[in-house]
Amino acid sequence: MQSQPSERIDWRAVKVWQIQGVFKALTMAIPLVPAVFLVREFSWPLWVPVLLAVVVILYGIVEVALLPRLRWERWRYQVQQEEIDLQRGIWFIKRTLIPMGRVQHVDTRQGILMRRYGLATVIISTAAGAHQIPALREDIAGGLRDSIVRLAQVSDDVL
Amino acid sequence: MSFESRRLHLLGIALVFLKTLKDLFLPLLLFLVSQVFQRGYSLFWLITGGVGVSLLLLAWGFLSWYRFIYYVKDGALIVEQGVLARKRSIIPRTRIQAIDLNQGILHRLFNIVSVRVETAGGNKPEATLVAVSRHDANALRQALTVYDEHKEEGYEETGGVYKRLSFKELFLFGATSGGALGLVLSIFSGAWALLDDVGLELDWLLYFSWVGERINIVFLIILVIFILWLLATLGVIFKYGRFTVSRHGDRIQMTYGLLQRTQVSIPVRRIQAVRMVEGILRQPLGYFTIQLENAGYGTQSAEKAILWPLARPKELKFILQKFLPEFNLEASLETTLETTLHNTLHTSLERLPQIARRRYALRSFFPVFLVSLPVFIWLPWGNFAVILPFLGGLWGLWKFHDAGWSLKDNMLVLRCRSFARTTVIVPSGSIQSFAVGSNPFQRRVGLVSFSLELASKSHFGLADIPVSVGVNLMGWLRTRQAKTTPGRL
Repeated sequence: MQSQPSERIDWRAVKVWQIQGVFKALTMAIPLVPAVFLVREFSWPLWVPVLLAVVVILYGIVEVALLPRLRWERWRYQVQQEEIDLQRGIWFIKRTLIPMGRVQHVDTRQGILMRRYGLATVIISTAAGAHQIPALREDIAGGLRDSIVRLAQVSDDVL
Repeated sequence: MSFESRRLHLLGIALVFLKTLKDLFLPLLLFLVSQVFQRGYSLFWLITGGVGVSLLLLAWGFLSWYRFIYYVKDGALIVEQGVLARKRSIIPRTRIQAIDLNQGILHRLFNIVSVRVETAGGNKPEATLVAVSRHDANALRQALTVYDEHKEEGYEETGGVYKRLSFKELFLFGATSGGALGLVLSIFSGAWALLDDVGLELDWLLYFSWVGERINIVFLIILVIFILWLLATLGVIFKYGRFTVSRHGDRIQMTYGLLQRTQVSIPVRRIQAVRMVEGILRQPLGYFTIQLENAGYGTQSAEKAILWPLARPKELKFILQKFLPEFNLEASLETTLETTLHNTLHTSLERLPQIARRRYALRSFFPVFLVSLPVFIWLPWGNFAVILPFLGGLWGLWKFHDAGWSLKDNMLVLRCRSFARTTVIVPSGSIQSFAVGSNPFQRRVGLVSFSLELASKSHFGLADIPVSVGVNLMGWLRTRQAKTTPGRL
């Protein structure tokens, strides 16, 4: 493959993803409550909640300690005059090319977590769908958005 | 061109009436039945009730008709409607992708049309004018056409280039539609569920010997399948009968239907790609369907706009030249495309490397294997499920065999198979995004997968092309992009 796109996303993305990972694991832990209840009240075998807990803990470790770091490591982007170039993926490494002329509009978006860390996601929409560059520093994201819009000269006639 | 505010054709009242009646039919029936149970059967109540409900519905129809106003102002179609809640939609004409005319049986009696205005995005038509006189429809179309270079004269047009489907072709199109298969399957599964419900436990051996004794049953089943097939064929014939395609300036127009006439009109610059689909029944006969990837239609509508229902490879060149010269490939590739469409030999398309062969077979083998494993273990007669994964593997080999691509100037030709074999011609300018990716197994043998997205919300791609080809394709798109200005063709 060709050389990678030049820019990295903000390193604090790792922290945001780690926190999100904790929440994901906590959501997965919800079935533990009825499982424990079933063991206590209906004498279900103990291994049911234990197995569940082990799965949740493993999942949490992967989502917190492993994936965010790898994800950040791989994520690259580059905005050039004629195209936007994205690279991402841990298992399946994917390189996406969006021709500048196809860009319809560009948004920046911040969730609560992202705002706390001063990060924003840039969302690039084409007629076929949206592509994201996650977790850039707010000012970088804003600047990127504006420069993509300028390059794309978003017009009504273009589909 | 101006188009003053006006109401729908008066028949609109009747159409709303009938539609509401249809929608309310079940609740009304239930209500009726419950009334009959409670109060006993009374002719007087039935008649007064029926008349009352009809009057109410008619009044509703009249009000909706009265409140429905449409006009063109400042280059936008404006539709005001709603009896209880008022709604006003404004559709700028630059956003309009297609204006379709439809005619049901009632419409045909009164020579009026139903107009559907489609825009990009969204899965349903932006506005539907259920009853418009022919005169108004033409005026509306002209008012909304961005380039007013031609005058359209209703349905059977004489100007421009024009082609009509013969009855023989139509019949063949219906007969090979495979719609019968769907009908048969649904009826069989229905009957199956019924048997299950009744709680009939079938002793299979007994059952088969019973059938063997009564061979007539087998004939009966064959007869039923034949009748279903005939029905499906008839359905397609009615739907696509008298198919014509014509080209007028920057628009391509398809008109079809025996009873209900449908007219689809698409601006050529909205066409994202052309695809040739060889159905499993059609491919052996050397026929394929030419479809258009059109930006105006959402993913929901399963029917892609059909440019031509049943074409032979020989006709492809003629059809593309006549109706879509924008997509006409250079003669050299065109002729080779002709031969490759019916030969299974790929002479012009580049093929996948041999290392991909095993991967294709396994990719289709494993999912089927996982599904048929429980069948094999638990179901009686499940031993036969052993062959399913191998059939899956063969199917994968078939996919491998048919996959191919080719680059010609600004066109990418891509072929792949799911069930039907599809060959698609994509101009570089309609590619919305292009992705190349690989998993660790692919990286080990130097293969990548690629996929591209179109504004019609479809995506096309191939798994397991060599890395070098992936790089080439990216480079091709880059250089093409630098040359073409936004807004393709």
